[in-house]
Amino acid sequence: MTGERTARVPEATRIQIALRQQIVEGERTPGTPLVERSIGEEFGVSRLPVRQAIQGLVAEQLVVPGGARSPAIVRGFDVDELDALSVVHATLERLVIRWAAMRRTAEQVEELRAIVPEVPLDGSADAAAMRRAVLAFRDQLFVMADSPILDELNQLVGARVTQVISHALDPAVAGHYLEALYRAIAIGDAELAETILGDYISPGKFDAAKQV
Amino acid sequence: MTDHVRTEAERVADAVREQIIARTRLPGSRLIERTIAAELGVSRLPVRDALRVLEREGLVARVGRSIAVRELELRDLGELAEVCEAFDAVAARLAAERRSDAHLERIRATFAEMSRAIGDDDTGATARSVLAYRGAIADASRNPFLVEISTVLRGREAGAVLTPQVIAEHGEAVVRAIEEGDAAAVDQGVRAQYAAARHAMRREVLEDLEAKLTATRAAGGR
Repeated sequence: MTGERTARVPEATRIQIALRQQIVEGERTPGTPLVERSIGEEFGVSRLPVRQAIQGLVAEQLVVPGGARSPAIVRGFDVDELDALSVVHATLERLVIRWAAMRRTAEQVEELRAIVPEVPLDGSADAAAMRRAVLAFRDQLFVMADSPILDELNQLVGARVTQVISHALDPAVAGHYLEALYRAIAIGDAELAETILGDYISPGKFDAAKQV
Repeated sequence: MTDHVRTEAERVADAVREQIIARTRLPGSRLIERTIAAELGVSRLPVRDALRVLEREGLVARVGRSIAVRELELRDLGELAEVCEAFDAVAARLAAERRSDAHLERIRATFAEMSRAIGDDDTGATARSVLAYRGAIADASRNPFLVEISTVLRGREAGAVLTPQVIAEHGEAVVRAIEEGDAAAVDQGVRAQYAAARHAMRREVLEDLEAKLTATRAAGGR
């Protein structure tokens, strides 16, 4: 009996992680309803852990809670919120990239290199793979920055920020930026890394997401 | 539902937080439930809840079986200074561009209260007004994400980087620049605060070194 109860908690967590990834990577787009029954079937679980997972995503502000007869939906972005997020995003990424460049170890640089995808110059990059690469690259930067305080701030706003990054991403050029950032960090040039980042997230960076 | 009634635990958390930030409870000092309960005239349960809140905020930490005011490592201090400076500058710049008259009024009032409290040597009121003043600037940015982040940072920093004196010294320029909507001047004012704080940290290291060298030489060392 207790076995069933303790098994349920990780199940909800597992589904929350999977759903979060799908939302953040843009697989479930803003406005998409999250229907408990069909998600339960998809994951082969009952509705209860799905409900708990959705509640967790509501707390992360990734999902708008449903009503009595309507399902929860993936949250979109309004213009004000995008502006607010872009400011926080720019400040946080600048710090993390600076420290990643300053504190990198040889192994970490190798791991970072492995994340950078091969990018064709004709703009024909695979959008889903590029989203995953950008987010993995960002995660690795936080590892390299090795800063509990930045990790904490990232937990606070990271889910929303990555959702926006993912939606605003231009797969044709993102890979070029990743490669340039990787090279700047590999040579330990924090200033160069910041400049490249600044160009990447310059004003208008979030315009693509605003159209959702 | 909308009108939030403050619980006893929240009041205890506020009081202890203030003492930590006012440095009447120093880093490393132990927090004993029974003593705090007696001090504030409450039972031990709300004290326990309050300590849990402060632990989540990172102000206190468990040391073995007891709880103590968290000590910042020197590395944390340097990091915090950089992170706080970056986010404070952004928040203050936005405040200059977007504040309402009510926001400005609150920034002015809390700054005046802080100056008064420092003048009166009232550490409790100083800690309260510093938090209120910095919170007022964050609110004026009208950016909910920045408000959330600066709340976390204020708790974490707890006056270890920016002393009330440093804030007061440069605050007038910041408040005026926010009033005039001069984002560049605001930025400069915030940077000056942190430059002063960094200067104080450097001086502390050098003065400590000098004192030790002097003592060693006086004792006949090299």
